[in-house]
Amino acid sequence: MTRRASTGVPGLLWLPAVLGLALVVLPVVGLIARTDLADFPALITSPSAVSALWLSLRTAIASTVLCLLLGGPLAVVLARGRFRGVRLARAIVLLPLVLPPVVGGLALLYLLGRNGFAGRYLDTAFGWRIPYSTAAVVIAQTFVAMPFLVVALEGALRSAGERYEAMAATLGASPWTVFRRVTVPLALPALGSGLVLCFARALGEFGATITFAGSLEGVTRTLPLEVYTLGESDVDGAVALSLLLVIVAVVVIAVARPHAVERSRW
Amino acid sequence: MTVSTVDGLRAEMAVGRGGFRLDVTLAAAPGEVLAVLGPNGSGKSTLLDTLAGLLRADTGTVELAGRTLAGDRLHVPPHQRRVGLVTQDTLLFPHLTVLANVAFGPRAHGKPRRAAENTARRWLSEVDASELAGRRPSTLSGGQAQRVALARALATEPDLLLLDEPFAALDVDAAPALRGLVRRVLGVAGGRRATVLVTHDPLDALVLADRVVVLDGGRIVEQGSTGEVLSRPRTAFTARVAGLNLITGTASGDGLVTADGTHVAGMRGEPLADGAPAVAVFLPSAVAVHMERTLASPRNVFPATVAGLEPHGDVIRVRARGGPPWVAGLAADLSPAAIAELALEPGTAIHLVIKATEVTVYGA
Repeated sequence: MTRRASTGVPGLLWLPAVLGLALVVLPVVGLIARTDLADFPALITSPSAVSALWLSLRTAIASTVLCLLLGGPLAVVLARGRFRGVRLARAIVLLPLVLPPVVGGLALLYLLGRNGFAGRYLDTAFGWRIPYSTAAVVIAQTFVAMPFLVVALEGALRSAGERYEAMAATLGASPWTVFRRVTVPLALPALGSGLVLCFARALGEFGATITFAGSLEGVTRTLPLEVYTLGESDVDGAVALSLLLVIVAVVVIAVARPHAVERSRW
Repeated sequence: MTVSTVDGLRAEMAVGRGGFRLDVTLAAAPGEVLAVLGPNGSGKSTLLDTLAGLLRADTGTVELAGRTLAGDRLHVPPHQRRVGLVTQDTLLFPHLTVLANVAFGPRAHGKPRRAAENTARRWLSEVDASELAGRRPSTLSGGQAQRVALARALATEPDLLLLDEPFAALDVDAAPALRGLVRRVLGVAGGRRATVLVTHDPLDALVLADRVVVLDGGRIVEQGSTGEVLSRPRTAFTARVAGLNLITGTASGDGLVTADGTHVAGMRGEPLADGAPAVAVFLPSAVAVHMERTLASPRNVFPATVAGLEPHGDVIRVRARGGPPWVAGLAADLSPAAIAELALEPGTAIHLVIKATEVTVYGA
C-alpha cells in the first residue's frame, strides 16, 4: 500500500498542538485516576445517582424530540425561506450557542416564571407553573441544544441546494412529496448527527437548568446538577458520576463524529 | 388549467433577471426537436427554467399540448406541467437506486409501486440501461448517468422534454454514442411530445434537431431548419457558433466586396445580383497561414495578426485580429506541428490564405 507523503507540518506548531491535546486529555485522565474503581458500581447505583441518571435520560430524550419537532422545521424555513429578515433570523437562532447558559436560564425565568410576562398568563389561565418543574428542565435543555440541530441541518440543506428539489418537481412531485422523498432523505445524515449533538448538549446542560429549574432531587436534579451537589459533600460520588458522563460523551462522539465533526461528505 | 388550442409548444416570454433580459418567442410542433444554440450567458438556462415553471416570466404565455401553463396572472407550478427536464449534471437522486430514480416520476403521478417500477424498467431498457437498475447513482459513469436521467424524464411521459446541455459533461468518447441513443429514443417515442434541446455545440443540433433557434444576449438572432442555419449562417455570431468563418459585404462577380473595399473571391451558392447584401462563408480548416504574402490567384490573401491560439480537438485554432473589422474573429485550424514551425504566438503578423473554391457566397 502506498502512503501519501506528508507535505510536513511546521515544527513550530507541534508544541502548542500537543499542549492543546493535553489540556483535553489530561483532566479526564485525572478524573479516572481519582476514581475508586472498586466502589464505582456502588457509587453510580446509589438511589440519588440512579434517580439523577434516569431524570437526565428522560429529559434529554424529551428535549431532543422537541429539538427535532421545532428545530427541524425551523432549519427548513431558514434554509429555504425567501422572506425579509431571513438572514437576521439565522443569526438570532445562534444566540443560545454564544449566550452563557446561566443568562439563558435567567431569560427563561423572566419569560415563564410566575412574574414573567408569559408565565403569569399561563398561571392565571391554566394554573401552569413551569419553573422548578421537570418541564422547565426540558425547556432549558431545548433552549441550549436546539441551535446544534438547526445549524447542522440548515447547513446541509443549503449546501445540497434546491436543484434536486426542482428536478423532483419537474417529475411531477408535489411540494409535500418533494419534502418527504427528496429533502428529508438528503438531509438525513445531517439530521442524525445534529440530533446526537442535541442529545449530548441536553445531557450536559447545567447553567440554564439550575437557574430556571433549580435542583430538586427526582424532579429537576439531573446528572450534572447531582455532580455539583455531591461535589460539596461526597467527592467520591461526584467523581464517579463525572466519569459516567465522560463515558456517555465518548459514546456520543463515536456515534456523531464522522458527520458532525469531520463534516465528511454524505 | 386553461384550455388552449395550441398543439405542441408555443411560448412567448419576457424575463428580467438582474441586468439580464430574455425576450423570445418560440414554437415546437408535436414530435419536433427544436435546438436552442447560444454561448454561455445567452439566456438558455433562463429559457428552460421558465418553460419548466421553475422561474416565473414577467410577461408572456406558455402553451403546451392544449393547455395554458403560463399567462396573464397564471402560473402552473412545475409538478403540474408535464414538462420533463434532463440537465448536464443529471441530478439523479443520490439516495435512490437507478430503478427508484426512474420510478420516481410515475410514483409521483400516483402509480402504485409495482406499476411504476415496471414503467421504469421499460424506459431503462429503452436507453440500454437495464443492467444498471440496482446501482446507486454515485457508481455510474457520466454517460450511464445521463442515460438514466433521460429514462427518468421520459418515464413521466412529458408533453415537453427539455434537454439542457445533456452531453456537455461527457468525455469526447462517450458523447457520440449517447447522442446517437438520444436520437433513437426521441424518434421511437416521438408522438406528440415536443423537445427543446439547449446546447452550445452545433453538432448536437445537427444530429438531433429539426429546427434551430440561435439565442444571443437574450434575443433570437436567427432561426430556421438546422441544415440551413448551420451551413449558411447569416450573422457572424451564428457562424462562430457553427464553427464557420463569415465575412459580410455586397455581392460582386463570383465573390463579394467588404465595406472597406476588399474583394473576397468565392463561389456563388445561389443566384445573386451584384450589389446585394451577401455573406462569404468558409471552414477554419480551409484557411492556411503564411508568413509571406504569396500571390497566387484565385486565392484570397488577408493580412492579419494572431489574436490567440486555442486547442480545438486535434488541431489548434488560430484566431485573427487586426486590419479591417471583418478580420477580427476569423479562425484557421492548424496542426500543432504547423504552429510550432511557424512559431505563431499572439501578436505574430500573418497572412490568411483561402482558396476561392472553399468560399461560398450567398445572400444575407
